[in-house]
Amino acid sequence: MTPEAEPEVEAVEAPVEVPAEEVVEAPAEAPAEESEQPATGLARTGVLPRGKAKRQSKRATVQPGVASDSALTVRGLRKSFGGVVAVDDIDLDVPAGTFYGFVGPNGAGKTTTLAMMTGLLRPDAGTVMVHGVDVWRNAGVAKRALGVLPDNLRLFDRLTGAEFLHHAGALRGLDHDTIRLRVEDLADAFGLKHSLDRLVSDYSAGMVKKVGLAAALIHSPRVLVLDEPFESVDPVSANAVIGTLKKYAAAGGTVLLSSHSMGLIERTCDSVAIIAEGRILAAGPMADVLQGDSLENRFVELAGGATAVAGMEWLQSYSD
Amino acid sequence: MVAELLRLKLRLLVNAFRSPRAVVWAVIGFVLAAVLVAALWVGASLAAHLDATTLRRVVVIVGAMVSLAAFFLPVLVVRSHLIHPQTLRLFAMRPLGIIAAMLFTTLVGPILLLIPVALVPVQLWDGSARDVAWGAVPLIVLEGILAARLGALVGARLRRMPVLSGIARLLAVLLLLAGIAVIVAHVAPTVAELLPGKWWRSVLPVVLLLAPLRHPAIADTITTLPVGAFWRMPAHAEMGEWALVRQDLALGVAAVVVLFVLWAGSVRFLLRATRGVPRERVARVPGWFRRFAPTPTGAVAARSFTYWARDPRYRTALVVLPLIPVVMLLSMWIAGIPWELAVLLPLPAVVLLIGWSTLHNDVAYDSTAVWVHVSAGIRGVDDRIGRMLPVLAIGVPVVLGGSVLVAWLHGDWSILPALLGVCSALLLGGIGVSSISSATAPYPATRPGDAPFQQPQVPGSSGGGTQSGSLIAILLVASPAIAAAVLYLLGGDTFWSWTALVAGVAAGGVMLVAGLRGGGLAFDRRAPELLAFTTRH
Repeated sequence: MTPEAEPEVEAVEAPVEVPAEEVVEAPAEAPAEESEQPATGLARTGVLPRGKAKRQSKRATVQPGVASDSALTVRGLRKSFGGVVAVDDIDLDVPAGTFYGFVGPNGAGKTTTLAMMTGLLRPDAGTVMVHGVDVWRNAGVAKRALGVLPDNLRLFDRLTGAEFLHHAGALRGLDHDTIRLRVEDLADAFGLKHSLDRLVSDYSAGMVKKVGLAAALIHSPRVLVLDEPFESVDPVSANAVIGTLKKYAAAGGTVLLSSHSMGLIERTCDSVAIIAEGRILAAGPMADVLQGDSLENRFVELAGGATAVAGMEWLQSYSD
Repeated sequence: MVAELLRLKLRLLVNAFRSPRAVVWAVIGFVLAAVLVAALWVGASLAAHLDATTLRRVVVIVGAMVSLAAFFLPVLVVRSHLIHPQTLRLFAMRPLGIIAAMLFTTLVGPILLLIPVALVPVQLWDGSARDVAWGAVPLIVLEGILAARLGALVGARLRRMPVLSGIARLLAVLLLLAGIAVIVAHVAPTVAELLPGKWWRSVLPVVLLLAPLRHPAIADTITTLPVGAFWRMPAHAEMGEWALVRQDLALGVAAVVVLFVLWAGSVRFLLRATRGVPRERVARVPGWFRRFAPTPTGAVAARSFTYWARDPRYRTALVVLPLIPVVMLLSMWIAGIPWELAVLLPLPAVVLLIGWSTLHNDVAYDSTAVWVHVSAGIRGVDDRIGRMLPVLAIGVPVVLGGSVLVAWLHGDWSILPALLGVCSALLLGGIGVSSISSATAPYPATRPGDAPFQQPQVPGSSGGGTQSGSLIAILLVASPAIAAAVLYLLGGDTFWSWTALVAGVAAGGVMLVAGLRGGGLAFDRRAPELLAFTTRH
């Protein structure tokens, strides 16, 4: 959600287009409860519908008022499926306002980790904090700050695109006018405009990704966790989406996205974590992780892909 | 212009005979029609042998069948518009002009056959009745033209709906055959008398077989229908019942007006612009979401309503419901259970299924899409209420209307409270129990997009435990109301009937609230596990 895209709504409710440094002053205008939550970007009030503002902000006081620089903090996260360890003691810090990449080979535990970070899969051990709020202890508050796009899970695909986005908006308690405006903006931005009245089940794989992404953005969350958001999305749309996400991150929002396209991650992200066999091999700002090499080479080096290439001599002598 | 249009119609009709096969069919059709008209004229000469009552009945029944056939034969035969109303748009005609032109051009065509048929009854009457009969002829023809136009529209529309078209054609054929059978049944005894004596041995069984169709109720029902009104006028005139003649006229004219409005409205609909001028998509709240507040409950409810209306898995449940009473009543009739008792049973069964059939495993129906609810962190109670609302919206009218209907069929109104009590307990209790079972004990369901009756291809539990467990729990909730209702039926004491109402509503209400709360808590606690369950299946 680009802040500029909906002046009518935001102008009344909260100052959004302020640069990140000035945002600290924004809470002064907001209700007292709000000031406990430092606005790291999209002002919190922008998310709240007018009618619901009071109730939700009351709930928000439950949140420990930690002004944390870390949008996502993961400690000791662990998950095993029937004796097979999928995620093994992962620690991760995603600073607020970063565009964070999460790369790893197939079956490395990316999807499992992201699902546990977003409250979709219960971990065996460990904690996940979103802006200082525990996702598993204080799910209601933490989930409001999260926008999620999982991989390989269905959408409610008997709804039309417009209905699905309204469903997502209404679940988050946005009012009809806000939802309508945002659906229009998102559809414009992601090229869904002409498909909004078709059933999601008739969408192509890339369109499903895009409508899911739009649904993740509709409540302008502080943190976006996207699992393979660009898989089967055409390059033009992917560029439009990346542009939107970059603007969002520049305004203080945090994006964590997984991909196995190294080039894309290297071009777009400013920090990266490499995961293999359930462990984080390297994590940090892009330059630190790369150490002058390309991400692809670093990845192969760290994940030990070179050994696999060495074997299979039989493939070099043809059998006919 | 008129001559132009008539020439066009004639040319179109003649062009239809350009292939040899069409000629063959046309000849067969023409011969059949000629035989039919001739048969009617010959039949009219038999009138002298019929007694006055039978004569009146036969005339009206045959007339009503002819008027019905004017509608149903085009439904059966017509597969496309000979002159589509929109083609007349090219002549810069206004809609009303097009409607007039279509009526007019209809006169040149098969409907011409209606004129000799409408003239048949004239010879049967004398005096003032004959004048009335002459007056009825143009009205009958007008009604026939309108009915034929409407039938042609329906026939052309049905071409795009093969299944519905098959059903409609079957019904039309059955109806026409039934009409012919009733006519034959009425004429048969008279015809049999006219036949030579040695044929009686073979004719008599037929006459006896058809005897039930001569039941006065059948003839009376058919003769009171509006389709027979114009045919009935001379008969009433002959009896000197002029008030009835006026009533027939009013009824017939009303039927003509209704036919005209229906047909003209349909033509107007066909004349609408089929493609709008391209313009910016209007941003508005789509579908069911407009009718619900933008809250989590409203979102879940709007989504559920949309699925009930759109998803075949839910719609199948709705389609099966009306069949249940039919099957149950039929089997109980065969088993010899008395009607007063048998009629009480289907409604509770239907209500039980409404509350239970899809709701008790609703989360599994979402499949993995339930992540949307989990990641939005909505409260379990909101989710439960949203899913319940469509079921309540279907169930409450069924309970109220169904109870009144069943009490009326049962014949004793004092059973109404007991019926309401039992059905409320089953509906509310069913929703309550289902709200818990779908959050605590889901089992693999048909996946979205699969055929409704397809079994899910997964190993392990097929949900037998959940199904039987939830059904037993619902029956337990309803058991006080059922017990009181049985006591009422045994003793006839209205006290027990009212007790059943109170017990049913109370037990159902408590279960509903407990189910929504308990199911909500279970959803809150187990949401990730539910999602994990759906990803496994």
